[in-house]
Amino acid sequence: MTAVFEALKIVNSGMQLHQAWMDAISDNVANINTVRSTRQAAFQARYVLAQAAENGGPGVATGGGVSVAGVALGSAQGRLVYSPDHPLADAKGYVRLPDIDLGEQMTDMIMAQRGYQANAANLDRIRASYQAALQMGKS
Amino acid sequence: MLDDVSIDALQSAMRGLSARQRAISDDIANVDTPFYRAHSVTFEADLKRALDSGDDPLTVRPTSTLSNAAAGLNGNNVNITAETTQSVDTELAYQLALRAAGDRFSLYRTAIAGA
Amino acid sequence: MAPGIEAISGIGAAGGTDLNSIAELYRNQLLSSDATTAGAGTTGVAAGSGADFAGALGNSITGLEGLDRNASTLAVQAATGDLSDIQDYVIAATQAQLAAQLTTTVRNKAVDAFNEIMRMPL
Repeated sequence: MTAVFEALKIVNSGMQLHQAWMDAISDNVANINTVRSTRQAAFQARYVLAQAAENGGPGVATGGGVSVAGVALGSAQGRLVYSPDHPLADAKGYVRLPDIDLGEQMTDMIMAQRGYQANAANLDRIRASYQAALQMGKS
Repeated sequence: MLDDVSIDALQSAMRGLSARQRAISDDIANVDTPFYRAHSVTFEADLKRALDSGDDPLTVRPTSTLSNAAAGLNGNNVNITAETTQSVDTELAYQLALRAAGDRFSLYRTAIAGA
Repeated sequence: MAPGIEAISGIGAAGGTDLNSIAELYRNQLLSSDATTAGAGTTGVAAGSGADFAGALGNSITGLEGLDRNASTLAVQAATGDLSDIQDYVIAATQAQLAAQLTTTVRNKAVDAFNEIMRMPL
């Protein structure tokens, strides 16, 4: 986004990161029971990697917010579950399920949500302070 | 004093900013429309170029481009968070330009009325 | 009565020269207000003779031009989106506005005082 005010660009980057994180977690939780045959890799959990952007605005030594550096994938092995009646079961009766811990994902979701809300509240505060600056000195 | 370019530059900037605000409203209204592509408005670079080369800033027109961001499941690529933040930024920039133009006029008024 | 009239005429006789010289000084200083010291903003009106006052007024006019130019430059930066710190522009604009009001008020008071002096019965 083209921002006149650097603080808003930084806040936006924070919100984008946490949104990407929430999307990844939702995807992981949605696929927590995705069964694949043992010939394929299991569904791999997605972990969003965050990286601080070093360059701030012109003439200032602060950072430039955060960016998504990449996405790391979880274990491709998954869990082997004995389920011989499943249509995808192999000769030994095993299927592959993803190695995702629901508790860990839900905890991550709470953190991602809090991070997003913190950035959104920050946005309101920034807007209020700039508006107060604009009223300065008005008779 | 009366030939300073700042009032024209501010007016041109306000035109660009309100075009940007319209584009943002359009994008937010179409956040669920399938195969809709967001647009963004630029004018700052053109305005700076016109001012540096001494042209009349009022000849600068804002240009609108379609975004190439990744689309979601229904082909819509509006990023609602970025649009909201952009809207806040545009509103503040517009208020700043408005205040700046008002200040130029009241400075003239002080000099003219002498009180 | 007679002493009073004499007194008044005495003032008129001696004061005529003084009033004229003061008015002349004021007029000269104000017309040639390309002040040698170009300072930003007023440094305060010095108490004392009319020369210092008119000099300070000349300084404030030159300072006002500088403040106005600064505010105008920052306004153009705000228009092109280069101004990330609103407070720079707002403070510069407020300074220019106050300097303009101060200058015009001081000028008005000076003109009023001059007129009142001219109106004084001699």
